[in-house]
Amino acid sequence: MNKELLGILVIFGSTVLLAIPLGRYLATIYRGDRSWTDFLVPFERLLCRLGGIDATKSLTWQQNLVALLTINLVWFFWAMLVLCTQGSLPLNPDHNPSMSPDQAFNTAISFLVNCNLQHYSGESGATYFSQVFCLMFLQFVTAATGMAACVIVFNALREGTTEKLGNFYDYFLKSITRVLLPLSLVLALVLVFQGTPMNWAAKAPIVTVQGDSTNVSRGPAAALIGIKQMGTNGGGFFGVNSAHPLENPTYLTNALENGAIVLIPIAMALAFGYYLRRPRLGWMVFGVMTAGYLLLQLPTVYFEMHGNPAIAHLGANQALGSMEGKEIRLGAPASALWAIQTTVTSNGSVNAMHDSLTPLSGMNTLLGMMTNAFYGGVGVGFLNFFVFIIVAVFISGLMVGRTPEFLGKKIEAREMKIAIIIALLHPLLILTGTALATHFYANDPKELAGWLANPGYHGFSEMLYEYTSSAANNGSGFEGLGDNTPWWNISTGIVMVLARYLPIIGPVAIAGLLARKKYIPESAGTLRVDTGTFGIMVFFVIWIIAALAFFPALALGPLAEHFTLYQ
Amino acid sequence: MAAALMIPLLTTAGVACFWLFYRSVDFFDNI
Repeated sequence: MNKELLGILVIFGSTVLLAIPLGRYLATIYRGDRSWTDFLVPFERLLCRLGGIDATKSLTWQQNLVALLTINLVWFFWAMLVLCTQGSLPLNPDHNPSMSPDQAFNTAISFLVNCNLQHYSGESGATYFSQVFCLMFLQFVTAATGMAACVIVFNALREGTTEKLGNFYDYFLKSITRVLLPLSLVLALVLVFQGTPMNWAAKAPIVTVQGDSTNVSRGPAAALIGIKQMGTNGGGFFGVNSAHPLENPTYLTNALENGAIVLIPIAMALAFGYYLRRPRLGWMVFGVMTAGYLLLQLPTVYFEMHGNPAIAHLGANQALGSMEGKEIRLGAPASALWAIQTTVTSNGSVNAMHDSLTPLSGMNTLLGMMTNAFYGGVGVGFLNFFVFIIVAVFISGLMVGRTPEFLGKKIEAREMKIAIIIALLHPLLILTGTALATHFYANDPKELAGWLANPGYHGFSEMLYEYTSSAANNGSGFEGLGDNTPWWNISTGIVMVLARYLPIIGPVAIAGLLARKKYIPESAGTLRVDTGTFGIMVFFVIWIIAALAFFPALALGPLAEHFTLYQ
Repeated sequence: MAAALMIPLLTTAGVACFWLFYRSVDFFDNI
């Protein structure tokens, strides 16, 4: 077998194998059962005492959401303060300036919502103080926020009737101390040993092999990259993210970083089953997510391995695949693997330039973000999937003429209204943003010439990608877009914030409403949701909603480009 | 626009979004 293909099979296979015990472990710690990390309990209690929080008190879904929103609002103020004043703060050996207000707004929102869309370059746009005490801090706490919200939903789906769904702070704290910190530390240590910088030094002047003088950026990179991947954050320390040789120095770091992108999202899907003590349910969710993921992954690997006809036409050898925008040391298949895994989860880090992907591969990255439920972000991926489960249960109920039930709770009009609002919010934000940007550009292409490096279909894809990435809280970009302008900074900032919190509030609200209802024990007439048949139903619900919402936009962008290129 | 004006303006926009989220908790509770 081709070594490169074997490499990506090993990366994905080992990640799944690691995710199984991690899923069990997550269920154990969130349930509060005994685990080997219980030695951290005194430390967690101390933190709660310092914060004046009683993490043992179980809260209603509304109280949990108010706690989540309030702590996030405090972080927003902190991020704005740091980014607007970073030029005057310590740990700035390269004398980088403070961000402009619109760029600070975009960056603050972007890291607050676990998106990590970057309209700045780390080398010149952020100081070490910002990178560590603002951006890396947010990478930990926002990932933990998503995981905590997910566990609140798990609680609501347990047997019985209850108003109380656990404590947001309890799950939040455990997610950091027992999951994100240790895993990120391990990854960061490997990166350090492989050559990633971890220091506070300024840029180093060097003379290249061909005799040019240049400055190489350094800094506390390894620590940030660990949580960047583990928390599906994706925000790079350096401008070109994991395509930078110091951010991703070797094939080993590439494999580990790539595995880290999907590790916790897969483990959370499996944890769902273990948490409810119904492992088959977790495997059903994992199976549907994996089928959707493979549907995007396999053609992307194929297209990237088979070159670009436009480059072949110039006479360039395409034996290595479509190598424009890719690292020769990583190769086309490993870049294709990363491109899809980073977009089906809400990670958004890159090891190759997505703007240079062949058109259908670019479309697949877009579809990964448009569906936003095939693994998805840590915690929030399951919340998105949960909305589709509710829709699938309702449709299945209509098909067989029964009152729809999910895990012993009736799905009624209120839950469906919320599910549909949340399911349609995603395309609404993407398509409205893209339509407005396209309208402005088409009306004044000379004035806005700096926006697009590519006219025509690909230029449209660049704008569509930017809003899709923002709405999916992904953060990757088709980098041909000149995005550091007030329009892009403010409009994508608003899209990101709306697309983060409403899709958390909606599923938690559905879960809270369900938890209050009378529990109906399963009988022969109950719709079984841990079967392959129901999994297929959910799979098609996700794709039908995505196709109805996004096909016209995809036809104008990547599909039109594909048929132009491969005519 | 001057930074002195833009910073409070954009911070207020962020706070307004959070106000919307707090309201949406009540909205979904009574939908």
